[in-house]
Amino acid sequence: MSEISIVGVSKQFPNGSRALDDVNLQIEDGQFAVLVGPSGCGKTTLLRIIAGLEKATSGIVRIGNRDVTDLPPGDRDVAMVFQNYALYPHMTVAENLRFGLEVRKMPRKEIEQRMLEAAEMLGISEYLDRKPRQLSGGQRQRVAMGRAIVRRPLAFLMDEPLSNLDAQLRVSMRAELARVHTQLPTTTVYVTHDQIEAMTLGDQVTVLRDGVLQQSGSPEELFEHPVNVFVATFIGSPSMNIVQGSVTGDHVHAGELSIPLPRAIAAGMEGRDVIIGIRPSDLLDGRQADPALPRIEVTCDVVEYLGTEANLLFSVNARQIRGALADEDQEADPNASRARLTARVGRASGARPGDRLKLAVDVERLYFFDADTQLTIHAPGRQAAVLSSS
Amino acid sequence: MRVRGGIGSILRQGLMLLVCVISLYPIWFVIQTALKTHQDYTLNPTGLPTHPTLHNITDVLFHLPIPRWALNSALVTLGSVSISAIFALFAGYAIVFGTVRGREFLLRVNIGLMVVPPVTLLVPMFVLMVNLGLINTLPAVIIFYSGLMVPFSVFFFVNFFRQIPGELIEAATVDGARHSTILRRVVLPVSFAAVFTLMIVNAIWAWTELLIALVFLQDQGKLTLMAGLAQFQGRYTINEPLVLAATLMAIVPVVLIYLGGQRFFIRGLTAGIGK
Repeated sequence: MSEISIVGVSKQFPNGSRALDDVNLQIEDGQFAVLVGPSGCGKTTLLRIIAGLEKATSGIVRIGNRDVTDLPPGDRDVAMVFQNYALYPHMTVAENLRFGLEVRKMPRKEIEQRMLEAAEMLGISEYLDRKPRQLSGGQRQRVAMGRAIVRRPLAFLMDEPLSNLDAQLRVSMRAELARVHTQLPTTTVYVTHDQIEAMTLGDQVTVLRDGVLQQSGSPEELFEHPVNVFVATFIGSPSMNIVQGSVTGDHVHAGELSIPLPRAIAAGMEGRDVIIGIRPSDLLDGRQADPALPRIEVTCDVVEYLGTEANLLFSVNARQIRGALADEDQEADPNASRARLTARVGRASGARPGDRLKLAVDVERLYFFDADTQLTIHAPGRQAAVLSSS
Repeated sequence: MRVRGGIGSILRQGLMLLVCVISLYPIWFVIQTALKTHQDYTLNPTGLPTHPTLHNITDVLFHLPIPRWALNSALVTLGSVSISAIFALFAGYAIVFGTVRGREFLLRVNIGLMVVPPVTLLVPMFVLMVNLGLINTLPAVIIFYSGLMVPFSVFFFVNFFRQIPGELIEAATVDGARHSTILRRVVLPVSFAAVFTLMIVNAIWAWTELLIALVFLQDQGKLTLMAGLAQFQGRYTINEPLVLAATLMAIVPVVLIYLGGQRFFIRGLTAGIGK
């Protein structure tokens, strides 16, 4: 059994900055757990605390029912894959793979057997005599993986292992990682800032922000039932559209927009200031969508053609809320009177920049968040009350 | 010679050639004079030898105490270079990868020590060696040399170790290696060129050091080559070719060490750690 428990872990750096604040997390045996969040959210710090490379200011770390809080990294029986691989440059691939077993004084024969097995599994058998500098990025990545695998540890810890690869290789290595995990279901903690990586790899995805755990759950749960605006906008691509509004009667208003709501949804929010969220895929091409759905008329600013689909970027006269990615790629002024939104429509829409077009709003798929706390009030399919108790 | 870029380039090449000639001429002078008879030298000090002879060199090698001095120099050099390198390796590792408090302070003290002129230490060290009963012995010089080499060596290793990616050490730590293993199996192999370079620099310094050797060693049989040559010069000042033959013998090992070590490049050795 090698579940990992993180109980009340906080980390304050000597310079006073707080990297983690009372994080509680349970990772079950054999799970692929992903820690995700924007840079500086504390995900790498948490991983390093699990590895023992960093000491928590307070809290407990357990690996496989053993309290490892005060154990040095070498005694925790975990293997780590580093962002830049950290292969020993003076050793051949074979020596790199053997090193972790040699320092543990394993019998020669078993070392050799495990080394060959791991090399076989990762398809690096023919490079065993090469030095890391003679390998390509993808091959180095495999060696780094192999170095972890030969150890047969209680858990794998991976710190953005794919971030140094080019986009194409990253996708194939991602599949490779998933395959290795199925073949070798060892508890894995995987850090990434890429939510697509998190969603595709993780059994359990944990979103962190400024050192505070936001939500932990399956990818579906995070996507369908985010607990707050941050998770809602962080998970999913393109990001969820978020605008400020209010509910009066059975209509929700956001700037110039006024959308009628089904009674069941509107009932709990009558008269409240809310943040309204809708995923780009729930803004539909008005000419094809269910005629019963309310329409909004917009002017298309940009069309991102993606082949089978297209992202339509437009703006509406409403107040924008800063989402999770705002700091990185939206220069949005929080007080701007126009909110930039995205709709993902089929290529059949044929929209061009400057076109005036009608979009249908799938009102059943609207998210509502509290205007002050930004916590979810209503998510499609489930009520907030259910959310908070789950 | 490939010349590109017209007059400017020719001037530059010419200048470099001139600098080469100026700096290599003394060596040439030593070599040609060592091959002259005394008479030849007196008649024509700067010209080529008219009757080249190996007489001076065989004299130096077989009839004078030069081999003995060379052996002393070798012992002193090897001893001090090894001691300082080992010491500095441990200190540098502890300062960069250790977890002991006050590492930064240690480093600062160390850097402070680099600027202490050896001359100011001469008298205190002399008194110390007399008290320890080590005066006029090679260990006295070895200890003094090692002490003088350590501060720069530590500084050199600290700077080099700081370029080693921290992940490399962390990877070894997670793999279960202790500090001694990490130093021996990861840091040392990666730093081989740096260690080698430092040892060469220190060796050349120790081999050519004169002042300390002259003060601390007095017996003829205990002199280092440089100290020996200094006295030799006084005694055989009339026979320049002989003195220069001895000088030539003193230069050869340094040149050999340097040429042997030239192919080690510090850069490029850490390549391949990361992406």
